Amino acid sequence: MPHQPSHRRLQIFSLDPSADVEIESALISRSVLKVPWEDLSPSKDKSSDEESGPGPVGEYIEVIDVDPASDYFYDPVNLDDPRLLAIDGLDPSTGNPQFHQQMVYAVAMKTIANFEQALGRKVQWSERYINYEDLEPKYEEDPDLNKEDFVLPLEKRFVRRLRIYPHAMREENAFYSPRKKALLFGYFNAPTTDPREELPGSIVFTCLSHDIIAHETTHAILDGIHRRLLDATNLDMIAFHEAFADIVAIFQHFTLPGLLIDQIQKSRGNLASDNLLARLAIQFARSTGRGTALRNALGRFKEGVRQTPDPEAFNRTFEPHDRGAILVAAVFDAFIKIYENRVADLYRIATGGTGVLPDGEIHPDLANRLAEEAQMTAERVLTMCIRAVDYLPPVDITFGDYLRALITADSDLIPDDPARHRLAFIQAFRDHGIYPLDVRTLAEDTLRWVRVDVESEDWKRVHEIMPPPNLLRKMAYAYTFDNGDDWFSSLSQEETFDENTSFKELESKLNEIVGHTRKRKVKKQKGADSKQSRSKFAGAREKRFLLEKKFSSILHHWISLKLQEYDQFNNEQPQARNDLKELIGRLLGLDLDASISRDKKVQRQIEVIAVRPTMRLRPDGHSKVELLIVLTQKKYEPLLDQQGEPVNDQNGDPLEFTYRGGCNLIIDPEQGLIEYSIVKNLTSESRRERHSKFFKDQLAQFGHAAITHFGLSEKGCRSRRKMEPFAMAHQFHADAGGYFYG
Amino acid sequence: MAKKASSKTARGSKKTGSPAASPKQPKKDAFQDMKLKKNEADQVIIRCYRQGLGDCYLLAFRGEDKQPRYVLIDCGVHRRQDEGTARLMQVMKNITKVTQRLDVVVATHEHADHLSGFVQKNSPFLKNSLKIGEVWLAWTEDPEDSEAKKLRKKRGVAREILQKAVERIQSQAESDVALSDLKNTLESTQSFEEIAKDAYDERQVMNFLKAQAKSAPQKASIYSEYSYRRSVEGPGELGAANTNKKNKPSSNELALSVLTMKGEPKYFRPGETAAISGVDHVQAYVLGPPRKDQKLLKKDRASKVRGKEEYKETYLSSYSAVEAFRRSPALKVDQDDSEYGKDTELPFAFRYRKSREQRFNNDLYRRYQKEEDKWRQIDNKWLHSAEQLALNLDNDTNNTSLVLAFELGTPGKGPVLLFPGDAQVGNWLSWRDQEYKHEKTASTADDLMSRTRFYKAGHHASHNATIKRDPREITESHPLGVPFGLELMRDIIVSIPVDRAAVDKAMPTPWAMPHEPLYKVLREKAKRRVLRSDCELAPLKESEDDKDLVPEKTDWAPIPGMKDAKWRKSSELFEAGKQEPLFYDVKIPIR
Repeated sequence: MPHQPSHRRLQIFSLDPSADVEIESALISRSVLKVPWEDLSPSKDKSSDEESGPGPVGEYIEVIDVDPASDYFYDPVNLDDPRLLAIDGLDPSTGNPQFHQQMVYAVAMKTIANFEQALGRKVQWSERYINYEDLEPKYEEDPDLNKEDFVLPLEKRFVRRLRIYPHAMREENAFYSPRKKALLFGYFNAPTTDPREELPGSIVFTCLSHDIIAHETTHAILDGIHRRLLDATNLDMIAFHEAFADIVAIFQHFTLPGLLIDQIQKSRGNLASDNLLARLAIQFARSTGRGTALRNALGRFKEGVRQTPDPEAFNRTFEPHDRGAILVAAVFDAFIKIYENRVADLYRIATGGTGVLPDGEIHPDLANRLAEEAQMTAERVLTMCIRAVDYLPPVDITFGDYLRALITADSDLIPDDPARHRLAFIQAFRDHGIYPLDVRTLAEDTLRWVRVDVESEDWKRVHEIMPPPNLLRKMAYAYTFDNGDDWFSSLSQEETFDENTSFKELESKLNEIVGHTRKRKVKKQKGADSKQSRSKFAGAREKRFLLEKKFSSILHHWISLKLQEYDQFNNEQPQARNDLKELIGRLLGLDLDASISRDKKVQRQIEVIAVRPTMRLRPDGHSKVELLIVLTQKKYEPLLDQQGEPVNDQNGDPLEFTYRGGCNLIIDPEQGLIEYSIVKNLTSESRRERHSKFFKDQLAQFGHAAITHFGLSEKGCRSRRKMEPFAMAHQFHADAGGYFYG
Repeated sequence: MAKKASSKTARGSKKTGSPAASPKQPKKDAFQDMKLKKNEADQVIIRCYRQGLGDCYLLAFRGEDKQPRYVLIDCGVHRRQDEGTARLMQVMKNITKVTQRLDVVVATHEHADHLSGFVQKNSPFLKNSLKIGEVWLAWTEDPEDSEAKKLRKKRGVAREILQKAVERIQSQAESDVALSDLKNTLESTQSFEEIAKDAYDERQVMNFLKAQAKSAPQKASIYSEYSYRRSVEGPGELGAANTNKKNKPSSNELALSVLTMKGEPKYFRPGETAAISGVDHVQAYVLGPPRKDQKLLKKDRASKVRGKEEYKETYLSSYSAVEAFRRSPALKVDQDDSEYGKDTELPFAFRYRKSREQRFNNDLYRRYQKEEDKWRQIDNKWLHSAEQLALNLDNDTNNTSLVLAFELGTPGKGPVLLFPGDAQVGNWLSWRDQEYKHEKTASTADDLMSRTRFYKAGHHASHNATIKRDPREITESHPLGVPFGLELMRDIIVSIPVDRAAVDKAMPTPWAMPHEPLYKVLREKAKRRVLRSDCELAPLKESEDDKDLVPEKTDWAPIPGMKDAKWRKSSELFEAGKQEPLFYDVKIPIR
């Protein structure tokens, strides 16, 4: 019996169908993607809804092809059909909906695989918050509302599969719906009147664009990693989601070998010249009269010449897509710098030392070598960009923070940087006017987040409120063990901790959870049955989700108990006590003296929003394991104008905004000690002022529409969020064509 | 923007009738007419009525015979305006007190906040005593114009589709909360289409039209042409409109019928010059709406300026963005799709389509239908495209605004009064495509902008109806486009027919009127001489010295910073709603 294959080969349109109908590009218009193997054959067990099967319905995604506007449902493709397995799936076709299903599946899975490789853990979709009584909440519920604030409690639910609807609507749009945990793709009649752009009136499918699929999938993955990114508190945050999704889509171009070689040959290896690799969503842009690309990572071209970036432009650009485009351009610029650095020797070898290429086409061998370098560089850059997400502060992210996260994440994994990759990033970001405001110089060592000095007295105080190192270590490694079904049911049980729970109980609970894992593992080795491999694998992600939920709960109570002790002890020395609380708060970005408004008793609404591991392979062959713990805290702040008068909504009720702070703790599990504490301080007055100003600016610009869009709330009320933040982003900021005052 | 505490108290004190804040009710004989004294030089008086969210401007010019000639530009109020009907009635009474004959009535475009007065219950326009000379309309209303006919037909179809979508949304909105927001948004967008229900007696209007048609049978055809849905369905019997709901003309269509029956309709094309009969020193330049044969409209959108997307909100073709939605089989609208091939409203060929019965045999479809997974269904998501269609329809109608620039005195030199209706970007940009020849010189749109002294803010000063530059023309010093529109104006008075309270009623998203960044620039350009129709003080006000300047006396007083120009406020106050002056008068001399 042969082994399971490691991957499945699936045909796709390289970029989109437009290249398929042009003679110059027809050769490169199709590619074969290698995606991780999973069993997709029809389930024999009809009773189980969780089974994978045609759709494709796999571990991570389920493609359901309903087309309500046409009132049709298209039969799902069975990719495990031997007739399809033998020929790398269906041939690319615009007219066959089953190929559409295959292509969205292939590109989305490829994107997921890229993330898993970079992050060293399974991709999880963002959890679903529901309240018990109302299973269809009117608005996306605010997940971190304190239970005591409102009558209806909220429950976190695991979402196993992202749903993909390839033909959801009839418009020039595709979006990720955080509420439905689904990607919705539209199709439309090409509005162009120029048959050279696209056959006028012909149907353009957004689900056949590699870039659009990768972009939307990235939105979903990023939302799963960092839910707070949707709560914009500054201009960069609105843009970051868009920019990051573009970056992933663009660097995935380099994994399409035919396209890469072709473009290397056409550009004679000069990737800074206008080329298809840097262009996003070509067919979509052309058919809707938007030019040659929806966005171009090389920035602007004037008469075929690439314009050098204007570092001032960043400060003048407020429209989110435009602002995001600057980040994309900066990252791509870094890529070009690294690539050019890496291929300089190849050019010299090929030209007898001059480095100056003769006219005409380049040698195919050279093209192959250049393509190889480009592909490796792209992979490295993409991995760097993805890893940085784990090193972002928990809230209020800026592009400058992202640069710092990038540098820290990379230098942590690869301490020496012989090819000067990080320098290329720093330089490219600087050229585009992106830099953090809180560093003294733009050098690698100052850009890195400051490493915690574990020997210092201050940090010893912080470690005192955390669980002891051996428990943290157990948490980190708990994720790495396989586990069984008994364990799953024990994880599913609701835990109730309260003020009377002791540390001992928490510790034994944690030991029980972790110990259980070990026991199960031993058992399994005895009577291993490989037949059920599929469902075992399937359960793994849900178990990780539940494990994280458990750990969060334990950690939350641990820290709460510690802080309660601090509240009570040293009553005879209030000054010393307050100093201590101030110190710990400052290092963790929290306000330990916060008495929360709304006439409640003193509460610190500290929330543990993530306890998750990362596992990465270092170049020296060692694996690096880290535990991320994210703590946040929030306050409700009144929105005040310059005279200190409250700003009201249309009903005359004063408005509030949610002000958040906290830290992203990166813990070395070997030591059980904090390595980095990436902080946004809740006690910072200036940051609160910036928040307040941001919300007021948005109100001034967009009127009361901004209230729901930016999650402001009437005093004492639950904030109302936009149902579809990604669908609306474009409309909300439409125009920006430069005609109007805004 | 939040209401300031200070403005609240100001309003509050008026309500309580504190003597300091409320001017005494005027005596009957204190009526402020719009006649010029014999010894006064030629001037124009602009009466800006302040009924709220809605346009109504009465202009008085001096005729060759020294008698005043009156031009009325629009007469309407939005149905969200508090006490709008009563306020507009008082406005119309004031008009009839000023004159029983309007030499020209301009109806800029087909939206209720510009036309409702003409058909409102017991409107003086439905009586024979009020006479109308000429009725000025845009070429888009011309029953003879083939391009206009096409445009009307297209809009008729769009309206029908939207109607179908709204019906479907209404039937589903109960069970889907996302749809109830959409329903509100659509109602919000469509609120420009119809007059408030209780302000309107359709029978009264129909009877008036019937009587008119009897006395002037040659005009009867005009009415039937105005009923756009009829022009789609073919003309019908006058008065029969009542019987068939689908063919029922809208209140806006009836308003145009009333006007054209009363007065002599004149349809204007861009580049033409209109004259007020009996007035020799005023010429009205027709700037818009643009025609298809003009360069600008050739292409649907995207002028690829700076290599990035650019939307053009011009009428005619912007429906292509919602073309696929329009052709959704689920909407079940019979449409003539002969321009496309057979069956092309569906994305896939027959063999891929499954009948309703067949799909329930599929495991995956059954899973999609599962009760506990209902939250992930998308059966109604596609209906959200209706929002774009509704916006397009609304923008298109705004873009058919007849735009007039009244030039006072010597052609090519005099001051200009700019009335852009609710024109949006496509309309504005097209103004630069024509010029107006004088004996030796010629006036361009740029030139007219720079001579503008009075600017009626387009579309209640919303974000996309006052333009600042023309990105089609790029120079070294203006890489984003040369300055145009408001950027070229200096030394102006601005009138904004807006009421913040009415605007904020729009749900779920209140309209940004006035749009704050634009409002800031308007105030700057007008040196704070901004006449709003609500009592809301400048939301940006930092101090008392920074509030909007408005007329404070009922007698003519010099306008701060403007040579020779004068203004006054009405001594008559609104009886319904906020007791504010009925109008502001602005007098601009002709040099």
